[in-house]
Amino acid sequence: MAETLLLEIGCEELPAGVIDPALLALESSAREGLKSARMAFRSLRAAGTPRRLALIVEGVADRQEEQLREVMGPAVRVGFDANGSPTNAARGFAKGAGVPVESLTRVTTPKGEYLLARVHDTGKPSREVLPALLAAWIKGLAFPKTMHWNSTGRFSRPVRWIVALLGNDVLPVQAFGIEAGRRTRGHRTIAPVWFDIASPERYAAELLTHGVVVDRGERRARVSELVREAAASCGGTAVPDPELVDEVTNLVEWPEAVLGRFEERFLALPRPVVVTAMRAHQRYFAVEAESARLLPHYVAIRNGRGEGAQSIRRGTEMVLRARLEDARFYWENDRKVGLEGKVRELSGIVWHEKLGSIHDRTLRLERLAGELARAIAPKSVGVVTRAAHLCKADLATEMIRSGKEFAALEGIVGAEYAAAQGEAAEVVSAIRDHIRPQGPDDPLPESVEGTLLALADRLDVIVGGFRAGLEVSGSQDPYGLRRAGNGIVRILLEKGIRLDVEAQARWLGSLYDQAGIPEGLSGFVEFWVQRVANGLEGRGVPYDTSAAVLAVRPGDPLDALARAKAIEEIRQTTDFEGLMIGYRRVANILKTASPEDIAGSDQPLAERAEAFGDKVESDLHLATKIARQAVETHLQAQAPDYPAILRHLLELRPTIDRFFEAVMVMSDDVSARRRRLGLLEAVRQTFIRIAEFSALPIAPGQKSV
Amino acid sequence: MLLRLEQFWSDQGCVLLQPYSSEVGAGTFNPATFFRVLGPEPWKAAYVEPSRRPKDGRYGENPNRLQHFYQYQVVLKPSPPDVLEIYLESLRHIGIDLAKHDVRFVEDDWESPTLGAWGLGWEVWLDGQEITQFTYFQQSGGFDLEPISAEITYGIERIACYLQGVERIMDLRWSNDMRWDELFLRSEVEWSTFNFEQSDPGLLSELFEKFEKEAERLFKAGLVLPGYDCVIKCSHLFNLLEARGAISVTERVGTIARVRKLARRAAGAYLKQREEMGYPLLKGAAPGGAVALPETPRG
Repeated sequence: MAETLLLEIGCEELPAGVIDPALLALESSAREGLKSARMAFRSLRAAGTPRRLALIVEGVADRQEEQLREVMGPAVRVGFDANGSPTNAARGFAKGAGVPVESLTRVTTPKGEYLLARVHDTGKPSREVLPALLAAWIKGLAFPKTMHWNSTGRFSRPVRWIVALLGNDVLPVQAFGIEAGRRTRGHRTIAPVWFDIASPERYAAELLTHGVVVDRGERRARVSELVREAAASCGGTAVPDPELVDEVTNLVEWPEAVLGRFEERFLALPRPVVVTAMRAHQRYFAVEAESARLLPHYVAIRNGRGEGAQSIRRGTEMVLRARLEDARFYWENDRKVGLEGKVRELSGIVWHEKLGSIHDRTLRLERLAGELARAIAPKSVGVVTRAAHLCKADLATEMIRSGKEFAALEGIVGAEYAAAQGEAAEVVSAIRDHIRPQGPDDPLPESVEGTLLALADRLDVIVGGFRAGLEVSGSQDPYGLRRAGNGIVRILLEKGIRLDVEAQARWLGSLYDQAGIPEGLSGFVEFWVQRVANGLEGRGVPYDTSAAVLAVRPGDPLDALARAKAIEEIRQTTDFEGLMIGYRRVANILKTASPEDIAGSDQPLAERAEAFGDKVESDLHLATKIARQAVETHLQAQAPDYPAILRHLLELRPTIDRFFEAVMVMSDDVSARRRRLGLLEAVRQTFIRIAEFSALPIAPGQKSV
Repeated sequence: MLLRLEQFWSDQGCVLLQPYSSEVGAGTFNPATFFRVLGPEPWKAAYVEPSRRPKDGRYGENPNRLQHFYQYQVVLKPSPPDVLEIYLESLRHIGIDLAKHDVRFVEDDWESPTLGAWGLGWEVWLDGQEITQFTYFQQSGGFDLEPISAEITYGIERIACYLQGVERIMDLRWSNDMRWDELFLRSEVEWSTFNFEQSDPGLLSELFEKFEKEAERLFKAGLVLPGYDCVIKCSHLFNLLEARGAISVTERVGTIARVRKLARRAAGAYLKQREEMGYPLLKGAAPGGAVALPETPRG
């Protein structure tokens, strides 16, 4: 008869963030564990709160499914003697497989004839199999951080009891030195008692009577509804915050709302500051009016019910007042000084001991951002320079330096101070924008000025980082160099901005030189190529194409992407082979030549055609010269037509072929040899204006690995 | 309230100690915690510790943030299986009716980078206010701990606010006829002024270097406790420098690492010393500490 299985792992309060992943993991290990143990069940679900991770499996079969297995035994010639009687080997095998020796059959394999046992496994009763499975599921739960509490193992927080029931019976499960039983604990304050779970079917209901809403989804729905109701009761709506709902759901076993209030004078603080004060530590929901203006109310979710709503409201109000009071203290002190004063204070804040202060950094940003603006958006120079001047000032504000929850508002709070002292709206939004994007999925800066400042800021982090010798290795990126590089690539590709970052980095390096900050680590180019390669990979460019285009002119990601796309296009056609064979013939022979032979050939394209003795030679000279000119003309364009350039290169193929058919390149005549190699080098140079083709395989559509 | 806590934890078998005589940021710095959680010897102690956090000074203007406040510190080694229930019982014992409040255990991974100590546990919230830090110590001075200690740190002033029903620490009655502000407000204003405006960063840096050298010298001479006192001094000097804004973000990391290195040496020297002494506090207990048995369900 099918029964219901219940497992409950009773813990001290688990961190809110680990509960959902643990429940998912419990479900999937149970699903897989039951399947591989051949135990049928009807349905399976996990439930949990901060104090318990539970699993309920309905309709568990009372034994494992039967199974017919075939087991290979010894070779027939070993299993039977000359008389055809079974040997000890055959008897032993049959016994081990649990079948009579007479039932063994034979099977022919490439290695000869072997004995085969057909075993009918009737399966074991579920209650025999389950205890070991359950113990394995418990022990198999992984957490980002684990701890010891005694010497019985590691878990997210101490495990204090285990309930394991199959139907009405306790299963003998053991983990962390605890014998499973049917006792569980109620809510810490509503029902702080031990009590017995009669049967798995009664689990959720009995917990409910002991103040625990064990189902996560049900609890979450209650939290949302409570927040909505409470916010409505003061005429507002809760500022939507699904992440906070998730977190609060896993902070309580029984949610109840408390509506609190703070003094209106705190609404004079910037909205992000007020919301952060409520949200970051206290996990209160902010409430706004229809006009999207904050109301002086919040909703706190209590873990418990009954008496005490008054004192809880008072307590939460008191602690929020202290936080807002802190924020006001910072806000007013900072505004007394003003951002200009804060910019001056930046000279007292060391960015890095080898790189000087944040003020030095600000001066560099002003120049670099101005330089970028002149190149990309000349009209924005004024706004960008002003925003660059102010953008780091918030690092000197007490709001950020406090190290309190507001420190997470870097950039955002700087913009608020700028707005409060009457800076132009464009300057304010550029400051707000310049910290974006923080990560691969974060929004990009919105305004042109913010974009330019964001680029300058990140480039300075990278160039400075290399000067300071901050290494990027493996998965480590403690100074955020890699993140900064990825940010630049993302901005340039997604916004469609052409910028030779390598050249900008050199220019920025000259500012460091002027400041007397010496060169640090080499390897900027490798680092940068890897960043662009990641960006191209994200856009579906295969590794070999990306390596080919980044081997030449990797500085400009948008340009690299355009070249990669053109090559990807031609790679799908038969033209590609022609292009590649032409290039390979040239490149291969150059590889075998000695460096002096190639170096000795001096700029063959500059020479006149008459210098080339043979007609095929002067033909190739002319064709290359024409192709080269066409390529260079295309490259001058803002968005070069790379497919057209590739066609020019493709057109060289017949001339290249005729050249090789007619001429012996590696001639004993030194001057002829050098002249021909020089010419071929000029051909190669023309090809590699676009990409290093030797990184690519010849056949069309074929991806090298 | 303090008397009740003392009575409660004394009944739980704790040694009642007095505050340490040097400026510390938390009771964890007291040798009764920092050293005693190391090694296999069992230990149960409780004491008040004045805690100095120069950066948290608000000239007495913030209703519950101070640069000098009191902690009540309890260390239980090994941690008993029903330690959270015992802790909640202690709250009832000092007059908090748990059913009428929101008591919450909020994840908090505690770490003291200067001590090379860390642990997992919670901030205990009473109606949104952090009243206790509860930590299962995992490492101290960079050494793995076995057995594991539980550290319970009560925020005295904040709990007292609840018990007395006042909203500002300044309004706390410290005795029948003395309020907190009458006793400490002037001190809070003066120290805030000192910490933020008047301390001499040059002198502080110089003292830091001197105490650092002195700690190294004393450790070489085999004097664990006097050496550790210098580490405590370094840590406090670092806090003062930071409050004064005299330490940059990058220097900060380096300076913390210097203190941590000293703390590590202190911990290593202490472990060696106790081993040489034959772990006198082990008495009858099995080496490695008694393994905590599963909790017996209590009604």
